[in-house]
Amino acid sequence: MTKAQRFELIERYHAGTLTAAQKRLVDRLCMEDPTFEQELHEYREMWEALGPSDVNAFRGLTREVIDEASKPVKKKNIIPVTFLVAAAIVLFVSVGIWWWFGAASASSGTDLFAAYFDPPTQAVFRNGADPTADDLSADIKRQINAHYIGGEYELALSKMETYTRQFPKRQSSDYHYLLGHVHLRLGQPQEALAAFDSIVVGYQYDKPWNYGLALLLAEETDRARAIFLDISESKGPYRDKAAEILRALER
Amino acid sequence: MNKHSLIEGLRNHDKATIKYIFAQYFPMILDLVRKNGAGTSPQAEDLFMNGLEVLYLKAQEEDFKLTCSFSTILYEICRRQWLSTLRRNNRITNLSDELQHHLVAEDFSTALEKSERYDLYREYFDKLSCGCQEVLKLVLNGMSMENVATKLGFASAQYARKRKYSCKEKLMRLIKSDPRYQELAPYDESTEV
Repeated sequence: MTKAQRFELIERYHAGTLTAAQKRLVDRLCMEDPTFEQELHEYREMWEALGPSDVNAFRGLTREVIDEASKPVKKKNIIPVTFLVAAAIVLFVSVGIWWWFGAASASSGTDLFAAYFDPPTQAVFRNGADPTADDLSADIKRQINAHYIGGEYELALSKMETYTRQFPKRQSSDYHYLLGHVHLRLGQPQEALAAFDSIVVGYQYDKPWNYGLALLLAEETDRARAIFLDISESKGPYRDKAAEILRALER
Repeated sequence: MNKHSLIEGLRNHDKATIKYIFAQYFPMILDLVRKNGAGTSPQAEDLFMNGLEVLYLKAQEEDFKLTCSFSTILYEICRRQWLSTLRRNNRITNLSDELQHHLVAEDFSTALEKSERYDLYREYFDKLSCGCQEVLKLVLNGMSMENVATKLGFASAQYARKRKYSCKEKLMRLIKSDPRYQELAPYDESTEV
């Protein structure tokens, strides 16, 4: 057995997907080879330290609390009211002129969103911190998928919330990706942005693309433009579409 | 909140409990770090996070009972970790008295060492190339090699397997070459937290 095959065996042992013959092999190796047990332990430790383990979920929560507490407090507004009124009038007039001469023909964020939004056809996702919960969660996942396919997004969202309550460990990136799409289907871009923000693994191209679309729906055109500019300069599959959106935003 | 409800809150990943602990005890940790070795606020935050992780690991033991106050044990854990950070960086000068004396008899060395080993994994994982980090992250999150290959644009699942193995080997080589790894207690199933 090569070292790589040995590593595969250890991974399968950890994931609980060994066949009966492989289980016997692991037992034999544990008896005969003292380094094998050490390798089993090392893998588990690596998974606990770096994977979607309980301890990492806890660490993530602690980080969240620290970050929330460290957010700078908004300074009290000390700009005089008269200045604000004058600025508002200037802004109002400027926006009116801009609208009259140019922007009337530009594509709106929501139009562009509707033109490019291409959500997944199925609501399928893995469990995050607790892959062993798969069997227990199969039923509720089926319900989520049924509601999603049937266009009942409110119900799908409600079931996803129930899922989080029943399996409160850290949710997988798949889950957050799907949650983002459900929110977009419901016209809730801010919630979708929060869900996409929670994706930590994978979705290298899909995450920024859908994040940009959510910003369009939220009419946050400047932030959306910056994201689509990055995408259009990358080598990902959404490069051309991002360039189209940028052109439409310029019109 | 009493000390038992705090431990229970940690066990259950209760955000409100962590918020409470942060609000109550972080200033104490910040003070410890600033007065000893002129540490910074981000260093105090890391120390607080690691200290809480040790308590969390300790709280997983079924027979764990806190005999001293919560603030004492948290301070003691952070004190030990900060002392070892200072030693590592050769910055042991002008330490306050309380930093140099043990405050509690509670044994949490196993949890402390486990947390330190996790830290080594995290530290060296950050030093791997982005490509290696991405492969290992996906694999550790349970993605199949076929999907890893598709996601990262590899020619085949076989190549993804090779890459995964070489990245894992590289990570383990880096960790094992660190003197801290040798200092930590060797693996013993009977001492598992």
